[in-house]
Amino acid sequence: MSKVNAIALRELKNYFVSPLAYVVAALFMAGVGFLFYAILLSTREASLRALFQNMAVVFLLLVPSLTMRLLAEERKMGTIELLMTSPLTDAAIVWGKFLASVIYLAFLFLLTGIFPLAIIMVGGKPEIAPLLTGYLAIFLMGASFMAIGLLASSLTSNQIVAALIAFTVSLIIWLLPAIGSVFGSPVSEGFQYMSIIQHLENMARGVLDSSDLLYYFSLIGACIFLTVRSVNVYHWR
Amino acid sequence: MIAVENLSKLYGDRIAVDDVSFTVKKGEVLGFLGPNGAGKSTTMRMITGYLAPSAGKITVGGFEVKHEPLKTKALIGYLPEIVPLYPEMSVRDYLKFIAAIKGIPGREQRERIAAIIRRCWLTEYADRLIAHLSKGYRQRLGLAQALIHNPPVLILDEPTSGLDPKQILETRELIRSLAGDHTVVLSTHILPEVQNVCSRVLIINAGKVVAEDAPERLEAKLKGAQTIHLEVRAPQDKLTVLLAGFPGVRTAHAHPKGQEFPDMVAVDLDAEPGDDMRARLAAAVINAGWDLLELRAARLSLEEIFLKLTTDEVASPAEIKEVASVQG
Ligand SMILES: Nc1ncnc2c1ncn2[C@@H]1O[C@H](COP(=O)(O)OP(=O)(O)O)[C@@H](O)[C@H]1O
Ligand SMILES: [Mg+2]
Repeated sequence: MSKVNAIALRELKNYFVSPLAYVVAALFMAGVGFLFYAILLSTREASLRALFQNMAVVFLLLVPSLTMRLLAEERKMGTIELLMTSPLTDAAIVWGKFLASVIYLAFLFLLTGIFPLAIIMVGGKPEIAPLLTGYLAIFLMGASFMAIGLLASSLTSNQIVAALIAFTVSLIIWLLPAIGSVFGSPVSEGFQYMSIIQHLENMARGVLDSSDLLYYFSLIGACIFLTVRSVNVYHWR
Repeated sequence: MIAVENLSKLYGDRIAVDDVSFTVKKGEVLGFLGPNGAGKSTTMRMITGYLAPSAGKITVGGFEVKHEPLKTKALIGYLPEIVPLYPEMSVRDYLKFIAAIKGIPGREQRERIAAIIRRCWLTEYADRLIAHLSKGYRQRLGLAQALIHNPPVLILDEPTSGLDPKQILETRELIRSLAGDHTVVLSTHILPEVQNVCSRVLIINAGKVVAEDAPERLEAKLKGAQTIHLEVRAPQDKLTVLLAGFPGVRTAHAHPKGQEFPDMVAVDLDAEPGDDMRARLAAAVINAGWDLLELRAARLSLEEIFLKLTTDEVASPAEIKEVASVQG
């Protein structure tokens, strides 16, 4: 476990020495802030749900740029050879990377915490339950995008390609209901369940349903599992 | 300490390592010598568990790499050919990270890092960013990384590449000081390196072991060998016949000197070790009634011997057999 922490810590430092982390944080804040402001202006009513949806869009666009280097860079630089010849399992390497990503995500969330606070300060009375479940959902969604990005980064040593794969896969999972609607029921209902945005909407209503949680956890779990497999294949080149 | 049995590696359908077997005893320093592309790095990557072999078996410290990789990896310190560094980290932070992933307990880390920084001559650079280190210092840091957990086995892929002459001497001294307590396998394509630090040499070419011996013995066997360069005004066919039957000549390549020198023949011949035939050769040419224009003996340097062994066109199978004491 301390080895996973070591990997995560190095990765996290790497996030914060590169300007990218700050650029993304700034873009994220600006994006969310602007959307939030627009929502306040247009509806004169602090609608957190719309805020969450818009945060999701910002994530979809920005997360691939955060995750693209995770494994691709180690391969490009040859440092993956160091990790894979140290007494570490391939899974420890992958979990370390994922942990760092989730911690970075948590950092972004701390920053956006000021927006709901602002609503309360200006006298808005957001319902606490949807606020909390919405935040949880958007966090899980961000973590899912991170896991997809990590998987994409394991597939190539080219960071740009990794980012494109991550973005495309995330977008497809987002748009599954639209794709599914072509087929009609029951296929479309299946696609509906598999859509990443559907569960966000459920949770932003303030209902904590185990099927929504299960969805995010299985998506993350599947991506981690596939990433470990994909890293394992490096031994077999 | 290390046993490699019938190891092979294919990249696609290209064979990089071809049925290699050898063992390394505890405390030995084994040198892998071979030209670029011989398969040295590939073999090392399989021993360290980075690449999976296509066939064969490797054990390190009694554990099979395939079945107990975490145990064998814990025994090995590895310096890859491309030194694995994170440019955005400082030397100290990097070593801290290495200490953690190698499983050095937290309370010992500080002391170990300080010791390895001193041992690898990095003291003045401890708080420098890796991105700002010169090639030589990166190589030293790579070595520090391999040594930090004091592993019983060291696999060093071209440990002196990119160093200046002074650094090379220091690094060789360091490697020599490791012998005895540590089992070391190092690779190089530079001969003096193995002469200086290794107790045994394995010459690898095109994925195969072509020779294996102690460096002094390899040298002794080969040092006596000489080549003789000869220029004679004579009919080429008759000269070839004379040389083919001449006692002490192993091989002779005769060829016309060129268009400006009609009826002149140049010959490069390999002589048996320890047999100075120049006087006899000169007499034979004169007796045949030809003009002897040049006769020059060239001692084979170790570099040339090495080239002979590792260049297919030049090395004859007989020579290889003569040199190889264990492997054919
Ligand atoms: N990842 C790889 N993919 C395909 N071929 C490779 C790879 N690595 C090495 N090779 C080939 O395998 C052979 C042995 O390479 P290597 O082990 O690096 O030799 P050395 O270290 O002795 O210079 C070379 O012909 C090289 O081109
Ligand atoms: Mg090499």
